[in-house]
Amino acid sequence: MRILVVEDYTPLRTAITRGLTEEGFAVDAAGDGEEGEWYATSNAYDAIILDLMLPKRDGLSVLANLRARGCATHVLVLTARDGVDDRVDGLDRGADDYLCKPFAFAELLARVRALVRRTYQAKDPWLRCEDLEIDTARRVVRRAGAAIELTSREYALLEFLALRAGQVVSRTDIWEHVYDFASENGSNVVDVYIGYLRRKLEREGQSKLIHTRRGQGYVLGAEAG
Amino acid sequence: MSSLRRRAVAGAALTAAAALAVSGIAIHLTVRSVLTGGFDADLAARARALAGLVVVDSGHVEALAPSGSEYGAEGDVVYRIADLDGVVLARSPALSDRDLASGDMGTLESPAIRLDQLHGAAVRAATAMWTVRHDGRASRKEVRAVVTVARRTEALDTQLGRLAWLLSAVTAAVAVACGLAMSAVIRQVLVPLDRLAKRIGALDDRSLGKRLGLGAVPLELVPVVGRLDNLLARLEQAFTREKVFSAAVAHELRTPIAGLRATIDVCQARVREPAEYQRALAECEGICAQMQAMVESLLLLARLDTGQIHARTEELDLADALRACWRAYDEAARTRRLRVDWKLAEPLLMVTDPALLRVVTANLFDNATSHADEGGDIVIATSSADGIATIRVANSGCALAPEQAGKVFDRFWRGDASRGATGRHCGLGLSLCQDLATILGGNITASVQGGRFSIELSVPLRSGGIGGAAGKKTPGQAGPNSAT
Repeated sequence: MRILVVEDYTPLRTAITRGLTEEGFAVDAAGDGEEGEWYATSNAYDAIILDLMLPKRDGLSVLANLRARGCATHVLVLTARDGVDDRVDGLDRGADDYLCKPFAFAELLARVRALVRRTYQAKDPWLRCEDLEIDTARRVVRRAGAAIELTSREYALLEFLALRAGQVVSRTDIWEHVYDFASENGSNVVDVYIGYLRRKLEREGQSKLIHTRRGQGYVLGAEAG
Repeated sequence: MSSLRRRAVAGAALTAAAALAVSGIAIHLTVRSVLTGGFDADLAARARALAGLVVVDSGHVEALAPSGSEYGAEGDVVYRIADLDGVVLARSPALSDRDLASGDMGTLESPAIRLDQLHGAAVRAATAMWTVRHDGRASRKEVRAVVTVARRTEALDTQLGRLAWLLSAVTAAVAVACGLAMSAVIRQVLVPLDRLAKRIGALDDRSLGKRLGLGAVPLELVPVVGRLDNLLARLEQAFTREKVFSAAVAHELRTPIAGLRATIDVCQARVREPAEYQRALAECEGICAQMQAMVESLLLLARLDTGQIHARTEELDLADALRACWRAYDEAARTRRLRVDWKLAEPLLMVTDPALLRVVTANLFDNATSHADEGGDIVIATSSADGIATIRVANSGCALAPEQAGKVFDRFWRGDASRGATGRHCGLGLSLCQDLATILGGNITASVQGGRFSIELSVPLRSGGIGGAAGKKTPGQAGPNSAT
């Protein structure tokens, strides 16, 4: 899942970026409102974490501009303003969630995961596809009851496919939502990770879960329709 | 605790009692005078009547017995008629010859009146002397006689005593009634005061926005209510300022605390290499240092607010002091490729507090190096005129509107609401500078013109303060000195 973090206070931006990255999210970070808005309009994000008090352009203006341009990405507003009026104002301007500083990082993660699920209309933190089960809260994957160990990147890829189970997901989509532009290059990295996943998910005697649609992309489980 | 009501009631009652007592005494004296006058006139009339009963017959003086029983043995009026030799010519049966024998004598027209004791009872006696003449055919005889009429004063004293009691009772009753009436009146008069007290009592720190208002307030309470409302307005301002400031402090601390907590949370989320822990600790230390800087600024402001900081003056050369202070910012300026134009009047000797001046100039240099645009310029200039030294620090790349210049001294105010450098630039520095400039006996102003931010600190060449070096000569302004 690709997340945009717009926060001007460097230590906080660094910590959030690191924490999200370690949880398997692809993270872009911006330090001011203008840069944040540019990122948000230039890429497809699964969620945006947006501070309100930003240099150059304040967070509420960024939010209003994004909504005016038709950007439907879920936005979690992160701010030191904790008044009811502030929260109401933020939500009224198009925010999907509101988290006051300081916060527990686990709560931020949980809220980001919830926003991502909402992006794919999945309310249940358990994603299921045939005999595959994914606990998105605990990041645990089981197939036919047997636990499967995945790396962060493999888990992120599987979760992205599972959120769109039955749908063809293009390599570009995967690349945009799962991988970090800064640290990984080349589209073949998607195929490499699909290969890793297949080896771990599709053991001998088990049915194929990840299907290749030549020239289109990949489908997790039986294709819908 | 003294009570206005009690004092007013007691005062009114005492005043009424005193007035009534004086008038009562006057009435009593008047009545007494009238009664005793009538009493004495009666005695005089009796004396004249008795004198008419004295005759000279056959060369002898005789007194005829008065008619009626009032001079009888039981009567309360007695008389005695005697000649000048003391020979009693006639007397009441109740008297002995010696009774009423002494005393002053008046005339029949105006007998002498005296108080006396007769058989243990108080009497008033009238004594008159007159001459009894007898013109006989053979001789002419004149005899002087003295008549004394006395009457018991018991009835008169009783009457006067009753009058005194009556007047005393009336005085006491009127005083009490007056006290009660005054108490009721004062209670009624003080109703607006009680209402005002209740309204004041209902005020607390949450209702400082309310005002008592002068609408239904009696004229006498208008100054009190007016001043109280002024005090409330000042209190409201002070409370609001404190609340806003406290909220701003809490708000400012939230972001670094969030950074600290997120850094720790993320670090603890998994087992890491020692180098990663060290990096996380270093980040935490950096955040703590920023928070500490902010807290120290707040403490300094609090000490300035409570007047705990005083200037300790000594002589210094302003140019040297500025160059020494600048050293800490030189590297930052070089990193940001800032050109620095020095326009110093030197030497510029002044007597001021070097430590406080350094805090101010350090803040000005820090602001300039942080807010100037990359590759821009900073001007540091000094001058002196009329006993005032002026330090001007200006930088390019200012995005503030000219009307925002005055706001830079507001606590926690920032041009673009950024928290990017929380702790170091948390919006307290220039507020501190303003307070410190006041301590130094000067002032500080800011202006924005043509994308340049300029701040001017004016300080007396000789600040008052604790200590202070003896004055030396103050050099005039030297030519500008420019450095890059």
